[in-house]
Amino acid sequence: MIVLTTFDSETQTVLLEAVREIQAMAGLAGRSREAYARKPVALGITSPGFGQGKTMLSMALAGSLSHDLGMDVILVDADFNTRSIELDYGIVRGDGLTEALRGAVQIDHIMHRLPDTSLSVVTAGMALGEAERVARSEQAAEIVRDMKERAPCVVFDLPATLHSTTATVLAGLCDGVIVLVKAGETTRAELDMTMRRLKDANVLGIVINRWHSDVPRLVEKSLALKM
Amino acid sequence: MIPRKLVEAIFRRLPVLLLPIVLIPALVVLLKPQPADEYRSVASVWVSSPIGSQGDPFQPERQSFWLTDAQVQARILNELLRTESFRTDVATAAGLTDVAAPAYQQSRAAGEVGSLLSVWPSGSSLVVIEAKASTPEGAKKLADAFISQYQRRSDEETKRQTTIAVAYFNDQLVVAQQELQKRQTDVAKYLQQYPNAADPRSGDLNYRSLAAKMDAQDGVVSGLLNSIQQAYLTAASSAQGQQARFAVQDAPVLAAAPVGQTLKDRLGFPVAGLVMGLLISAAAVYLTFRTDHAIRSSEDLAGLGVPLLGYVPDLNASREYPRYRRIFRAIRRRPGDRNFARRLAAGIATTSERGS
Repeated sequence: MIVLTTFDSETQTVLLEAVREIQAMAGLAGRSREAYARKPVALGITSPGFGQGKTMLSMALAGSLSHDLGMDVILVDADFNTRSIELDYGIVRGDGLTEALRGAVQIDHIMHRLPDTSLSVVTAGMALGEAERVARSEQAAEIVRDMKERAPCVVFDLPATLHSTTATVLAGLCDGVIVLVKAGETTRAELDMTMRRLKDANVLGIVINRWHSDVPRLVEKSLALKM
Repeated sequence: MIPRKLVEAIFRRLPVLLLPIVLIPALVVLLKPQPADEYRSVASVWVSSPIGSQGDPFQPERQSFWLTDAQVQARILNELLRTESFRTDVATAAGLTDVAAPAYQQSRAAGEVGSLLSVWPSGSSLVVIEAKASTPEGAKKLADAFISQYQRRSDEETKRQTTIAVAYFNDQLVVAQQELQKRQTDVAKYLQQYPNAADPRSGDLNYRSLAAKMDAQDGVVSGLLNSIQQAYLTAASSAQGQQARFAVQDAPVLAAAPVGQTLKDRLGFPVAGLVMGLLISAAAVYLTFRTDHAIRSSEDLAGLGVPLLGYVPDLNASREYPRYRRIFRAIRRRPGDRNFARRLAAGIATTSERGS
C-alpha cells in the first residue's frame, strides 16, 4: 500500500480550508467525538455528472475529518463504474464493497487502514455491470449500519446521479448527501434533475467545485458582487 | 444589483471582447482614404440700403426690424443657393459644367455647388462668402461666379420689374388719354352750344362739372407719365444702386495653402469605429450572458431550497502563476494534470499538522 504524499503544501492548505468550511456549513465540524460516537454519520457525496470532483471531495472530506477530529473514518468507494479510489491510495485491487454486498466477504476484510492515520478505505470491488442489483439488495442497508458501528463517520463516494440509479439508492441509505457541481460546467437544468432524483435523500447542500473568478477584486468590491 | 454572471462573462472573455474595440478603429484608420487637399477662397461684401436707392428687388420689404442688413442679405443669398437654376448658373460660370452638358451632369455640378459654397453674416453690414474647392483657382472661380451671378440676377430682376411697370403704365396711359380726349370733346361741344358758359359770371354749373372732370383726367394722365419716367429712371440707375447696396470689399483671392482637417474630419471615422466595436462587444457579452446556463455562483442556486455549503477553488489554476492564469486558461482549456486535486485530497489524511 502506497500513499502519495508529494504535493504542493500551499495548495493543499487552500483545499483543506475549503473542505473545513464545507464541514462547518454541513454541521459536521461542530460535533464532538462523543457526539459522533453516540450517533455515527453516513455521508454521501454525489454530483450530476462524471468528472465533476466528487471523488476528490470525498477523499478530502474523509481525510480532513479523520485528521482534524482524530476519529475513525471510513471512505467507501461506492462508484462502481470508476473504482478510482484504490488507484488514488495505491491499494492493490481486490475484494471491495461489491463483494461485501454479495455476502462473499466480511467488512473487516475489505477495509484498508491507511498507515499512521485513522482513515480506512473500502474499495468498490468488481461489480461487473450488476451495481444496481447489489446496491438495491437488503445487504446494503445492513452494511451501512455495520460500517457506522465500526467508525463514527462513513463517507460514501456515490456515482453520478444522472448516470446511475445506484446513486439514488445509496443516497437514501446515507444520513446526509452533499451534491457537488462543477463551476461553469454543470447546468442548472442538470442540478434540478439531480435534486428531483434525490428527493427521498437528505440533501445537506451544494458544493461548487473548481470555482474561480476572473473578476478583479477591486471590481468585485465596487459592484458588491455575491459569491 | 448587477448579476455576477454578467461581470464574469465580461472578464472571462475580456481579451476577445477588447478585440473589436481595438481592431475596428485601427482598421478604419488604416483603410480610410486620405482626404484630398481642400482650398478656400473668401470674399467680404458690404451690404446696405443707401439713401434714395430702391430696395433689393429680391426683398421688397424688410421682414423684421430686428434683422440687420447683413442678416437679410445672407438669408437672400442662402435662399438663392437652394434653387437649382441659380446653382446651375454658378456651376456654369465657375466652369464646373457647361450649358451643353447633359442634364444629369448639370444637376450634379449644381449639387456640388450647394455643398461648396457658404454664406453667413458677419456683423451688421458685412456678409462673408466662402467657396471651397480642390484647387485654389477653383475656389476663387467659384466665389467669383457666385458674386457675379447674384449681381447679374439682381440686375435682371430690376430690369424685368421696370419693364413690367413701364408696360403697365403705358397701358393705363393709353386708356387715360382716350378718356381725357373724350372729356375735352365734351367740353368743346358744350361751349359750341353755350359760348358764354366759360365766362365765370355766367355761373353755368354743367360747364363747371365737365371742366372739372376734364382737369381730373388730365391729372391722371400726368401722374402716369411721371410713373413711366420714374420707372425708366430706376432702370437706368439700377446698376449704380446695386453697386452701392452690394459692394464687394474683399474680392476672392487664391488660397496660399490648403485648409487643415477639422477635429471632426480626423476623429469622425475612428470614433464611429470605436462605437461599432463597443456595440459588437456589448452584443457578444449579452449573448454570452444569456446563453450561459452553467452554475457559477450562489446566484445560480436561487430557488433550489438547499443551501450552498461552500466552494472548492480551482486548484490547478491556483498552482499557475496568478498573473498569467488567464493566458494559461486561454491556451490550454483543460488542465494538464487532471489528478492533481485528487492527489492533494488523498494526501490530506496523512498530512501532519500542515494547514491546521
